[in-house]
Amino acid sequence: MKSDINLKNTKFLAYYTEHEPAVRAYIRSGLYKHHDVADLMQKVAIIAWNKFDQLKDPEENFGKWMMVIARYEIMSFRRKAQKMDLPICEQVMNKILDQGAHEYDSRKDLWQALQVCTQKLKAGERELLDVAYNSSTSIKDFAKENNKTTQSLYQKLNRIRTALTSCVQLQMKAESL
Amino acid sequence: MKPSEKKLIEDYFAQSISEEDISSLNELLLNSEEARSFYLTYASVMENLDESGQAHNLHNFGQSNSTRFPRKKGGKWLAIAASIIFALSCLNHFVFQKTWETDHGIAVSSENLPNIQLIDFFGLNETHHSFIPGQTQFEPGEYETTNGKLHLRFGESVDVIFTGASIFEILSEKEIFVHKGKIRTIVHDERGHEFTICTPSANYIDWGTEFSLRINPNTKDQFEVDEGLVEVKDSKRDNSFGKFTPDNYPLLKNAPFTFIDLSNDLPGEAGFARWNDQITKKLKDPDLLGLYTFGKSNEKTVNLGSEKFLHNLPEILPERFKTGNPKDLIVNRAESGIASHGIQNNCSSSYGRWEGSKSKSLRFNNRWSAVYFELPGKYEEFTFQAWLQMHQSKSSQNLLLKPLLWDIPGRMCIRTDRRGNPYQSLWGELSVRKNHNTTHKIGKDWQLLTYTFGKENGRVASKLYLNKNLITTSFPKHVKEIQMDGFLWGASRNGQTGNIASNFDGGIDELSLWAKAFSKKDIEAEYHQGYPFYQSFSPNLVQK
Repeated sequence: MKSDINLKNTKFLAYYTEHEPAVRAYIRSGLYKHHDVADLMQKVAIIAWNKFDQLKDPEENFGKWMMVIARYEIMSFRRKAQKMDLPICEQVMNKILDQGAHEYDSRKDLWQALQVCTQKLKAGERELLDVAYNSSTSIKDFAKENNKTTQSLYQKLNRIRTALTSCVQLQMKAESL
Repeated sequence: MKPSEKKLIEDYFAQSISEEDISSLNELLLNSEEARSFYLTYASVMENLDESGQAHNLHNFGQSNSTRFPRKKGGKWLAIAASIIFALSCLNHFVFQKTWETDHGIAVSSENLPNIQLIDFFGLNETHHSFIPGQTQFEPGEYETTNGKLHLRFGESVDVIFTGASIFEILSEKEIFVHKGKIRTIVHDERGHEFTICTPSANYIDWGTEFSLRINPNTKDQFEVDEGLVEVKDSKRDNSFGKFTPDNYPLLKNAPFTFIDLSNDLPGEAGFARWNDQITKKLKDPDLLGLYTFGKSNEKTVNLGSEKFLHNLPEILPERFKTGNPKDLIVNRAESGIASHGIQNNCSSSYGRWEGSKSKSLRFNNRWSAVYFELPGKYEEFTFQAWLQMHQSKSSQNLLLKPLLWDIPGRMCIRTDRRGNPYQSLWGELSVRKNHNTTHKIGKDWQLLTYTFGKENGRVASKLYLNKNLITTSFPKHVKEIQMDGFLWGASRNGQTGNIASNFDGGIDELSLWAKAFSKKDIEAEYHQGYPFYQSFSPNLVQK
């Protein structure tokens, strides 16, 4: 019994590691608030773990199967959520999730394209991104040090994300050719 | 996709999207596969970035900091699954972060992600109505203007101003190809050195700091160095014609350019011209009650004895509003001429929120500074709007707008609390004064203050905005109309003594009164069109 569980753990871990970033991103596209993503991802992972034995050909289907679970949980979350947390209407959300599922394979390895694009940023932009995501320095302190307003840095961060998104799309397109 | 469409998605993920933009976003995502694809990629980018470092700082800005994998009650299977996922999550972070750090040392090119920002524009065609100075980004590609002015900033260090008809191509953050047009280039610091303007016949390389060009097909380029040093090379960049300064214009045979005095196109002019255009449009609006620009042309000295339109001016006021001659008053006539006029006391006309001496605002410099307005009539829908900046509080609380008499329903008042947060009051409506939002303070930068009164879903709504942000909404129970016969900006009148106490230290510009309630979208548009982006940001830009 113990060795069965270990085997299941090992297999599940392997598939989960491969697909978790893409499924998490898919969940992010369905939710307005970032902090709901972790909770929903946890729920999806637990359901997937519980039903893992029922999945046929996990090698081929694990990612898309997780997305089906994620989609069900997103829609379930939306039904319980307050209206203010649902800026995107259901009809549009269904279209987004349809397209997200359809384009799953192309977006699965997006982080590699993201790394390429991040390296194309200017040193100052990379530094700001680093402060925002990887450093214990607050944006407020960073703004003070650099004689900028926090608002301007947040605007700049938004622009960097948009530029990265455009670049990632181009990069993925180029890789698919 | 248009930059404005990308901006909708950007705002959505930053959780700063306005109610009006939400419907535009839904429409866009419903109808455009390309937009949905961009949206999905944006979500993936955000999530990957967040996961790369768990977004320490972003949580400081409104996004709540949730525990990644909170412990939940449940059976052992849940606990096992949660711990497995937790372990996986750590592994995943490690893999991502490792690669991320390894790649940090690699030399990079900025060519693919240029930062080319719209600083200002004027007189372009209708398709440019969605341009937002300071926010709209330009991408590499070909552009054409048939008229007007376009002011762009390349990489935070080079300003390029196109005037009149032009055809140009943005090649990168450091290079543009101009087929036709008049261009002024200003390099603010050494980061902009070697910024190059290519034309069909030559390449103009800026070594700092200012030069102008006029390019016309089939004629020689016209060229002037205003300041600093500019090198000109032939179109293949094989041969240099030399480096030129404002004092070094040699005679050159066979050069593809001629030196000529080109009139300067100053930065900031586009904003002022665009603003003048907006004022003309506003004056044609039938709902405009009064508009004060505080320009000198609207200011005159009147003799109290001869002036007949001061219907409600209390006796005490002429004394307090007098100029050097006790019988004279300075009067700011409303541009609209419809319903109101203003009288200033010890205020001075000073530089306005736009660059250049033509732009004026009204400064409140001393303890007697105040402005009086009259507004006859009652209004079921009403908007008060003004640009203002504060220098320093004269007291812990600032009185911004107050009716002369605080006596009947329909009187409205705007002031700031001790923290500098503005709030509204309506006579007889005790529940109106509330402002729990402490993040919107009036400061030293130019800010747009808007008060609106009107019906919303069958209820009367009274709202106060700072810049484009709604800061308080209340639903009055008794007040059905706004009635502000006479009111003061920056001062109040003591009901018993009649004395005027002034306590506003700052400046105001473009004050307007309307017989309609502006929507949030109207206010956002006004903010984006009226905020003097160039003036506010340029001082930090120059590094010498």
